[in-house]
This record gives sequence, C-alpha cells and structure tokens, in this order.
Amino acid sequence: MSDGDLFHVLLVEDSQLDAALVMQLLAAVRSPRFQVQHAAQLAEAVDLLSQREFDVILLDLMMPDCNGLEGLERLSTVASDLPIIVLTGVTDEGVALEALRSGAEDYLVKDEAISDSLLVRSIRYGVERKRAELEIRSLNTELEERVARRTAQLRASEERYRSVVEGQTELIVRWLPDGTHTFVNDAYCRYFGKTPEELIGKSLFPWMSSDEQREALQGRIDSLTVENPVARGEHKGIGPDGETRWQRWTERGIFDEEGNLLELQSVGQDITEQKQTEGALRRAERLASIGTMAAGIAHEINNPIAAALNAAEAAMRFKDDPDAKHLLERCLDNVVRSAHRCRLIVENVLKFSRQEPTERSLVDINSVVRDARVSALPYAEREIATIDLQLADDLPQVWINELEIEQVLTNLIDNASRSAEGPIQVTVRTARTKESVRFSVEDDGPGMSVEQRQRAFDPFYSTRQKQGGTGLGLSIAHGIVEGHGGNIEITSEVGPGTTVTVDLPIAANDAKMD
Amino acid sequence: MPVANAQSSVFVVDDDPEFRESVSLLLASVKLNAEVFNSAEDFVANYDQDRGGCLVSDIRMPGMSGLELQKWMADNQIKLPIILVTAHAEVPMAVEAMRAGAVDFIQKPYSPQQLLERVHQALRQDEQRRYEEREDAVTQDLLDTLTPREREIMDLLVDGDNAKEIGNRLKLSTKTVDFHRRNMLDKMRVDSLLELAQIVRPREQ
Repeated sequence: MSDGDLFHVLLVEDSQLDAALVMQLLAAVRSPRFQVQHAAQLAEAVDLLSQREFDVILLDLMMPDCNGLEGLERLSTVASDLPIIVLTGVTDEGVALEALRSGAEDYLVKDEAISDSLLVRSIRYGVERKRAELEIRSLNTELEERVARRTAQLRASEERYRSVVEGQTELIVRWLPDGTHTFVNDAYCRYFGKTPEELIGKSLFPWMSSDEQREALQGRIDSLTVENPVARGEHKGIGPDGETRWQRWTERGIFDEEGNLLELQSVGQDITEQKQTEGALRRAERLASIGTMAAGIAHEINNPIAAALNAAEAAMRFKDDPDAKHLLERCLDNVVRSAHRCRLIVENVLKFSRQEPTERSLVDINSVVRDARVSALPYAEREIATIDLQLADDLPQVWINELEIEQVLTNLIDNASRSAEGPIQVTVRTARTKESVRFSVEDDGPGMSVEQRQRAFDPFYSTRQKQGGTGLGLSIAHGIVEGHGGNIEITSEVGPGTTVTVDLPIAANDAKMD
Repeated sequence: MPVANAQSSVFVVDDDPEFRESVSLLLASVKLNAEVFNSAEDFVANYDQDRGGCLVSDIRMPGMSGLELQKWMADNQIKLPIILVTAHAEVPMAVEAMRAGAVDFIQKPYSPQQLLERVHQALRQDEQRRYEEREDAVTQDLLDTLTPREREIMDLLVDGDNAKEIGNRLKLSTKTVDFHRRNMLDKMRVDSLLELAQIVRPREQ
C-alpha cells in the first residue's frame, strides 16, 4: 500500500501513446509521487495484481482483450479493495454512469479532461474514498461479528435455561379436587412413563399405593384453606416401573373468591433413595449407640451385682449360725436392694432403646405437672427439697403421651431435688410461647460445670452414679422430648443453680394465628 | 487360711452404700472386722495411724479418688496395704496405682471369694510388717543400752572382723575387746554373733 505520499498506480491502457502520456503526466508530479506500472492488456493487469500491491487502478475502458465494462467487472472482482478510475476516449454519459454503477471510483475522459491536477486529485480522492469505505466495511464486519457472538451467547443461555426447565426433576402437576390431571410437566410425565395426553383428564388417585395413602392425601387436601393454602406430606406412591416409591409432595390449593377449592398444584420429588440412606444412617447410629450402651450397662451394673454377690455369699455363711440372724437379714435385704438397682438400670435401658411411637392424646400440661409433683414429692422430701409450682392458666393443650412427659418432669424434679446436699428450692413453671407450650424446672443448687452441662444428655453420664444414678434420666428425657417434636435445654453455670427448659409444639389444630 | 489378728480391721472406702454394706457383711461372715467410710476424705479424717489391717478402696469416687488417697497414705508414712478396686475401664489407672506402690488391685467384676483372698493376703502382709516393726522396736531398745564402745565393737563384729583385728584397729587388747563383746551380747540378749546378726543386720541394710 502507499506509504503516505507515494501511490502505486496500475495503468491498464492498450494505447502506448496514451500510456506514455499518462506516465509522463504522473512522473511530473512531485507531491504526492506516483510509481506507475503499465499493463497493455487486461490479462497482464490481472497478473500484475496478483504479484504486487497497488493503491489504485487506472483503466482504459477500451481494451483489446475485452470490451468496455467487462474489463471493469473483471478487475473489480480480482481487486475489490482497490479504487478503479476509469479512463475513456469517448464522451459517453451512458457508459460513464454504467461504469460508476459497476464500482468505478471515478470517470475521466482522456482528451479533454486529463490534466495533471485533475488526474492527481481523482487518484487521491479515489484512494481516500476507498480507504474510508474499507474502514467502514471492516467496522461493519466487526460489528456483525460482535452481534453474532452476542447472539450465540444468548442462544446458549437460553438453551441452558430451557434445559433447566425441561430437565428439572421436580414433578409438577395441577389437578382438580376429584383427582383429575389438568397440567403435567415433562418430569412428571417421564417419572410416570406417560405422555401428557395419557394423563390430562385422568385421575391421579390410581398412583397411590394404598387406601391409607389416599386418605392421607385426602386429609392434606381437606386441611387446605384460603389462609393456609399449602400442605406438605410424604407418601408411598407407585413409581414409574410399578414399584413402591417414597415421594414428598407440597400441595397448594387454589381457591375462588368464596373460598371454594378449585384446583391444586402439587410439586413433588422422589425421595426413595434419600429415605434408604436415612434408614441406613439411623441403623448405623443405632448400632454405634448400642455399642456405647453395652459398655455403659456393663459398667453401671457392676456395682449392684458385686454388692448382691457379696451379700449373698455372706448370707450363705450366716445361714447356719443361730446368732447371726440379724446379719442374715441385712444380707438378704442388701441382695434385694442391689437386684432392684439392676432391674432399674435394665428398665431404663429398655425404655431408652424402645423407639416405637407412643399413644398420644390432647393433654393439659399443668395437670401433668401437678401429677409429676405428687410422684416426685416423697423423694424430694427425703432430699429436703420443696417444690413450688408457677403455672400459666391460658395454655393450649398439647398432643403428647402423658406418661412419658410426666416421666420427663418427674426426672427433672428429682434431679433438681438432688442437686445439693442441703435444702433445695425447686420451681416448676409453665408458659406459652409463640409456637410451643413450655415448662421449666429450676433449682437453686450449685449449678453445673460446662463439662457436666455438655455431657448431661449422654447416656450413662451421671454425677451420682454411686447413689443409684444411672446416667440415663436426662438421656431418656431428651429422647422423649425429641420424640414429641419438642426441644429440651439446660441453662446452668456453677453457682446460681440450674434450669431445664422443655418446649413442646402446640397441637396443630389448637394453634391460633398470633 | 490364718485368721488375722483380732485387732486389725478392713477399712472399706466406697461411695456406693449398698456395695459398702455388702463388703462389710461379707467380711463379717468370715469373722473379719470391717470399718466403712463413704469417702476418702472420711477415711483420712478418722483413721488412727496405729490401727492395723488393710484398706479396700474404690478408685473412682467423687472428691478425693482412690489414687489420691494412696498418695496421701504414702506422704504420711501409712504403710497399711491397699487394695484398689477398679472398674473395667480403669486398667491404665490401676497400672499407675501399681507403679505408685499399691499393694494390689482388683478389677470389677470379681467374685466374693476373690475379694476375700486379696483381703486375707493383705492382712497377712500387714501382720508380718507390724511384727517386724515390733521386733525392730525391741532391738532398738536393746541397742540403746549399749555404751559407745560396745556399739563400735558390735558394728565391726557384724561386719565380719575378728577380735584381734578389732583390737589392732581400736588400739585395744584382744582381751578388752572380748570383754566388751561378752557384755554387748548379754545386753542384746543373744548367745552368739549369728543370732545378733539376725536381729541387727536387716535394719542396718
């Protein structure tokens, strides 16, 4: 290309005379300077174009090897980037226009128009215009590329989005209260191995594995209200291959203005594998805790067994001695007490390991507290403890196993009563919180160390092992409270006493909206 | 099985009331006298150092542990044999107790017979020790009656020197040495050097 003020010119001209004239003309120009290459024939010009670079082409339209505009077209295909200035001997407006339309930059008539200044100006402008055009074209190209790139990105993101929507595993279905499908998503169809056409208009109830499951679902539907339109549940359904699968569903009811249930939207997942994993985990945990427990039992039961054996052995020796009747009685009494302790430990272990759900009913917690106080009183009095009750009177009923919760309370009161050697004040309170009914057992004993508090719920952890403490009381209490969906917490420091707080969830149909 | 001295007792330290009582009944059934304490602190506060017998103590107790009790006894020169009772999980502790010089330890669960055997063994050991201590006390009383010269000559004789060697060493005639020797043997209430060596040597070592 030109280096600023030197133009490389290709002159395509069959007339030697005209060529000489143009070359002479251009050679005389000092600024810019022109270096001219002459081709007498079009074929030669094409050849030269392939060999070196030019800034501009001067083309005589009348060439021997082609006619008029044909030459222009051939050159502009070969050198599309180069400005072509057409030279002609005839003054023909029609040809001139045609040439310009075919891509010529300019049109000069040799005889009348060729002067050095006109030719130079034409070449210069032609080159500049062509450059500007090329620049615009390259900008356009770049712009097009950017647009294309952006488009591709958008397309990719759209594809991703689509794959998320289509590939999602959540099962989505809309259905009428009578079970009829009104909408199903791809995942739902894939899961059940049906097409939308096979499902829409048909009932979904056949997929429930049993009547109970169906009733459970019906129960969830019936519980939906305008205020509380969402219900969740897990149930066993019939999976894609007809086998029983666990599913977790969230149902949302859609109501009309009068509060009638119009339609339901359910979103579900297959949780069979999750359930299996959970089951395996629970079994593993249980095995581990059985190991711990076995060691604990062995350790705990050692003392009373050793005592019973000692006392029984002594009894064998006293039995024939008429003077040792009193000692013999003490031996037998010791055997009985020790054996009772063993029984207590075993009983607690059994309670601890039993995990079946227990019978529950709606119960007033205050009455359970009063019963527990009566049960704990004889022990408490032996420990010089007094038990005060501070009961809230506006408590909703709780859905509990009364005996178990009483056991928790008795245990907590008993622990509190024994927290110190001297007199102890035990206070049992009940209260209502936003989501629970709360009871707490407080003592003014010496409190607990951090270690004691942290280990308090561990099975067989006891600070009163030798006084018959099995270390299971709080473990069992913990298990019972958890079994009720509740929470148990110890607040204590060394010094100012201990409070154990238990929260039990308020029975669902008694929960008022606060 | 030799019945132990009627004055010696088995001191039982355990915080489990039923266990404590059962041990004392078991010991009573073999005519042994048991004294029970519900904590190591209780024992420390009430033990009379002149009382013989043996100590049966649980290792793990609230407050002062069996090992701490063992240390207290060592610090106070109480040589009562100790039987530490360990639970299954406390074997490393028992090893520590052995290193610290506990006479014996017994691991739960054990049979009453095992406990009785260990107790009898400990009582015999205590009796032997107390007998030796009494003998030593008598010997010491006799030694206190010797004059410095007699004592000097006794020590050399016990070391194996003869009268002539001693005479040379102490610049005394053999006759004088013999004279002191006879007086010394009379005061020590023995008839021969051999007998003397038996009562004197153990304590000189």
